[in-house]
Amino acid sequence: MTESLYHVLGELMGKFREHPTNLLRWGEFPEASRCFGADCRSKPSNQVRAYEKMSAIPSQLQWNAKTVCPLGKKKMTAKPAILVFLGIMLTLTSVAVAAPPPPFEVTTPAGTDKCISCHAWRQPDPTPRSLKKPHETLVFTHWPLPGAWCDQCHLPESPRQLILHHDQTAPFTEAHRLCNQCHATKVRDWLYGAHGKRIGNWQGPRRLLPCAACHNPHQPAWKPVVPSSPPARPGSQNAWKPVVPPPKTTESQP
Amino acid sequence: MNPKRRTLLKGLALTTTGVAASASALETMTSPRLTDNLDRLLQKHFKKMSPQEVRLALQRIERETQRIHDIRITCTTTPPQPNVKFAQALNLAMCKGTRRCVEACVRENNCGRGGHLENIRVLATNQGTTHLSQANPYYNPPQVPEPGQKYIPIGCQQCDNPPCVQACPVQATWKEPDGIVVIDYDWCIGCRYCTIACPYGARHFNWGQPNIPTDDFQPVTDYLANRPRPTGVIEKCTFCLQRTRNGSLPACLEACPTGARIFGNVLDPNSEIRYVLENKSVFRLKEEMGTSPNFWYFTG
Repeated sequence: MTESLYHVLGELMGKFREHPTNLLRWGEFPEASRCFGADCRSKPSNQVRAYEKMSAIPSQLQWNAKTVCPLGKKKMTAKPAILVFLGIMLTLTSVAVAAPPPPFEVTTPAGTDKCISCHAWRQPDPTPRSLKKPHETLVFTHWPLPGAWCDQCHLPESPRQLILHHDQTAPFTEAHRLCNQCHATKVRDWLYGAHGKRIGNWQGPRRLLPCAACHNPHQPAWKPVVPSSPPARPGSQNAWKPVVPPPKTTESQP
Repeated sequence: MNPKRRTLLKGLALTTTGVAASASALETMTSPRLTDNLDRLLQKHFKKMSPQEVRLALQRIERETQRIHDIRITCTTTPPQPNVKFAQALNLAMCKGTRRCVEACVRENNCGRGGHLENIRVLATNQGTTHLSQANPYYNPPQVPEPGQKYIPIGCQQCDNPPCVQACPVQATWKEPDGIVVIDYDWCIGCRYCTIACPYGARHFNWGQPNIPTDDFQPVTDYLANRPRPTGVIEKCTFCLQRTRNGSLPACLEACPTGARIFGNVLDPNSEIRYVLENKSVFRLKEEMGTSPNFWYFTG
């Protein structure tokens, strides 16, 4: 109830804005605080379920404020009428004020599912070894734990399915749910716009690039690139040598 | 030479000159170049033009570009949207100094190539220092990021209290309601007071005819933003007004390979920029000058 009061007071002061994730910030990130053991079978709490439900929503392209905001579902324990009134106010305001992220669409990497052609019939070999074609270029610097192997994240029979906690799986299009298990704060920033690249519009629907568009999941470190040409010093001229080729010129409309 | 002959010669010369002059004058009077130049000379301040005059000015710019650069462009002017104030934030931890934003900006805004006309300048500083005066904008290593280096891209900060606007003696630059400081390139007299007034070095002077390749020309232009500028005027970043006023993101954002830049409407509580301003520790450059920029930097 103190949280609710804080919320209402803050709302009245106009200085507090409710994010669905603010609730989780008061507590913890449930997925991140989960046990990382592979054989952990502890039952997820309601908060964990709510969060997992929430983190699955972005793939549906619509962010529904009602289902996202767990605040409206809060049970009230106090009896006095004024608190009931406050609770009703809170429910109303939370639905109205709950700030969903701007409408967006996660662009998914293009490509056909070639994995199945081998992995559907091959026996998975869980022993770490040097990989052969076509995986010989893979280097694992992301998860430098002893014994880490492909089946830590990929489902052996269908490698385009990722393994989450609680025997859940996520397709490649929802890979951020896997990242979310450790990098929850970054994923939250990504959802709300402080991290990651967005293209398209600032007004109306955006397109978000998924985590793997910038971070190689196996080697997430940024690789150095050639910089574009520096500015000319005063009094001199530089030849314009763009690194990025010019966009395809289309006939301008008369 | 006797006086008679002199008079005769004088008369002949005068007549021939007069005939030639009148013919060429007639030709030049009707030449589009002269009429366009006269139109530009007699044009009013952008804010005082009637819609009809604005339309004529836009048509003139399209004609001039066709003549000078041999490119057909469309020049329009989009008014600011109500209840919108633009701001940009830049994550310094993510900037790798690739200068892709500069490249995209030069392309989008039809800046002269190979000069010093880039609207964005990326400064390389030693890690741990904030001395902008010791920063190097001319870094050119084979690969970036270099170890021990940090990069700070600086463009126009779109100040709320812009010193350049105060410095301009003819009010050729002003602040629009959506927060963008714009220039009427036809009203600018090229005195360069604003470049001296700007503490961020965001304004650049067009010393000559801008060198724009024909095959790399942005044909969709705006009067106040990226239309080809004449010689001898100031130019600067306008947050890609021709794109942002129509709902798109600026070119630098779309080009950044790391997504370090965040853009949006600060008056919209659900926008990305508001999330950054409310949840990150942001700062502004040269806050002590009282310019109140709309360009925020943050890390993390």
